[in-house]
Amino acid sequence: MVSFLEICRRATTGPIVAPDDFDMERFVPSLRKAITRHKLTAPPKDVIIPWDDDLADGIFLAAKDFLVDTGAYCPDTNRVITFTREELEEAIHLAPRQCPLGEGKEARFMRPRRPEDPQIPWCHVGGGIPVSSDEIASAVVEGYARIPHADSMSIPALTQLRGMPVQAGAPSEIFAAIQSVRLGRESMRRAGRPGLPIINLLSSSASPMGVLAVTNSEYGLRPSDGWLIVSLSEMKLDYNVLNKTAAILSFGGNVGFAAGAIYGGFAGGVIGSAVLDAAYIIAAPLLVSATYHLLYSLHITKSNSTARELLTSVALGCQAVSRNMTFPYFDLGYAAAGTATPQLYDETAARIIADVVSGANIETVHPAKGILMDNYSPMEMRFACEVAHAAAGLGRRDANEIVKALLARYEPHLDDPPEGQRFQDCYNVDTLEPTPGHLEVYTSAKEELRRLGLPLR
Amino acid sequence: MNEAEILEGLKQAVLDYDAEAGTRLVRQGLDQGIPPLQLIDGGLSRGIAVIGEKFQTMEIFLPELLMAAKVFLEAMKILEPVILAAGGGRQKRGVAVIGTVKGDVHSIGKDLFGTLLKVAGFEVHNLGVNVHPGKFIEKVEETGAEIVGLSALMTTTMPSMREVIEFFQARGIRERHTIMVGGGPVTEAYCKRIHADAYGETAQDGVELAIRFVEQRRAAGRGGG
Repeated sequence: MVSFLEICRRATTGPIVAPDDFDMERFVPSLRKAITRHKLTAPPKDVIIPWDDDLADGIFLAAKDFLVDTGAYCPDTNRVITFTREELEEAIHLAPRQCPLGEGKEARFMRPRRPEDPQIPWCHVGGGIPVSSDEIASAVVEGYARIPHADSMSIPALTQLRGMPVQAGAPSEIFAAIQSVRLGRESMRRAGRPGLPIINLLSSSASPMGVLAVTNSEYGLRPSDGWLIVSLSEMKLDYNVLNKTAAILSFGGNVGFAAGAIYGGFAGGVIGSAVLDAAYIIAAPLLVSATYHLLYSLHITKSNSTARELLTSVALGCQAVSRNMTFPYFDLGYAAAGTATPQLYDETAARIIADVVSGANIETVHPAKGILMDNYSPMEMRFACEVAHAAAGLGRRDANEIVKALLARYEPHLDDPPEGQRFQDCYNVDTLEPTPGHLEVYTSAKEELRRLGLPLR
Repeated sequence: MNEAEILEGLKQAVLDYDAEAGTRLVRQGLDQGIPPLQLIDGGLSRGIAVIGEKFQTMEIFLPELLMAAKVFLEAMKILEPVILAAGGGRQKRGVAVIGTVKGDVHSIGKDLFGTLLKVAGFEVHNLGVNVHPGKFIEKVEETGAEIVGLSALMTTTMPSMREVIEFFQARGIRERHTIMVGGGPVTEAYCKRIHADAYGETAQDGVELAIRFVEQRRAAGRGGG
């Protein structure tokens, strides 16, 4: 098995390639060659969630060919980290089959699933969405932790500290990193679940210094949390990524690799994005010794992942991996609509159903593309978990019909989605109860899904 | 080939991503005395317009967009000296300095914006990623740029956009420049909050805004630098 140190060595000794040439002369031709070699074509437009196992297996083979031909690029050294087919196959064979997360009664294993698997998916709740104050961050995380289905947490991104903007590279980033963990942990304790793992290291800080700041055992993250390493698009690992990985591996933390295809970008359309999504998951244990992967694919101009093409490409990438590799991963979707809107619930259901029947574990869908301040709530996150549990064991053909019906409702509004409400506008922040109006949106969405045939409790 | 055929061929060269055909037809057109501006506006730009629409509707993707832009830009390498030698010609749309702000190393959206700006006729100075505010100042003073494009893909690097604006204010040159912001987490509301001039949700939106702003500046008689 290629060690992480060896990956770092290859980042300094691999072939020298100019950045633009990596994208257009290496990445794009390799991907297209792999797609052609395996004769991969996108399913018809009315097949949102494909059920063609041969296509999924072809995508897996293409992803491996693409990885061997392309490698990964280190922008700091202008070199390509290359590996042989044998090294890749060995990494796939030896990839972790489960990821231990959490402590005490919350300790459990995130496990891989297969398409149409009746195994309940891992439900990762929350998001690194910007939050306006410590008070809102505390309240919302406590609300997340009250969701009984929640297996792990993402804590919000603090944007200010006593009026000072949190800025990358500045001391405010370090303080925010520490503060966000402290607040998150205390909120989970209030909800009676102090052992829940935080696995989104760390939306308040993306720098290696931020990682080091939260390794202190008194107030920081634990090895049993998840330490997320976010790659650069596409297939690029800079020294920030490698440095963080080096630090996390040194104290035995779970490294989670976060990467997904930009739909419409260098990967191209449905098939190219599916192959790249699969490639990212496959490469995670090899490149950064990951014990889990976070897949997040986004549309290049719309910045969501609930569009028809994204539902299909991500479903295909997930099916490819879930049929051919036993490595835990989950998918994060981005909805166009904001919190407390019926459209958000429709988009959430479509994304989650597509993920679960394709063999993925899930993260709750981010409202409003994850960019609007305070625009999230525990209500739609609970809904996402309930849909995930109900979709376990559902057939892909049946799921396709449900998702088609949901898509028919929201697709016309994807380019001009409702902004929704802030947490403090659709929740009572003191009691952590949703407003009656928000509760009604949630209840109606569940009724509609039951009517469409999803066996929701 | 007559003029109409050459112009159609140039449009088609862009649509076929055929840089060799593009440069060959440009040379042929110049040899036949077709004005350079006609080769651009009647041929190359028509192809680029179709490419832009196809990208918006996702009939084509980023690699095709970049390949089409390359056809255009390769052809312009031949045409620009001819235009300059003739002492007139296609007026430069404007000068833009773009970069990903301090602390942020993401580049795809910013690079796409830069390419589309070039195709739209701007002189573009791409400062790369993780750019200190002072570098933006240095470059606009060196080039006389009117447009400054700032990109960020993380909530923690968005404050660096505000910092750039504060640097321009401190230098006393804020009013001379149109400062545009864009990137995944950036919103119209954030643009207003930090007193930037414009927010482009997509690269294409950004280009249209840049064109509008330089035209407004020209009309108002204000330059950059």
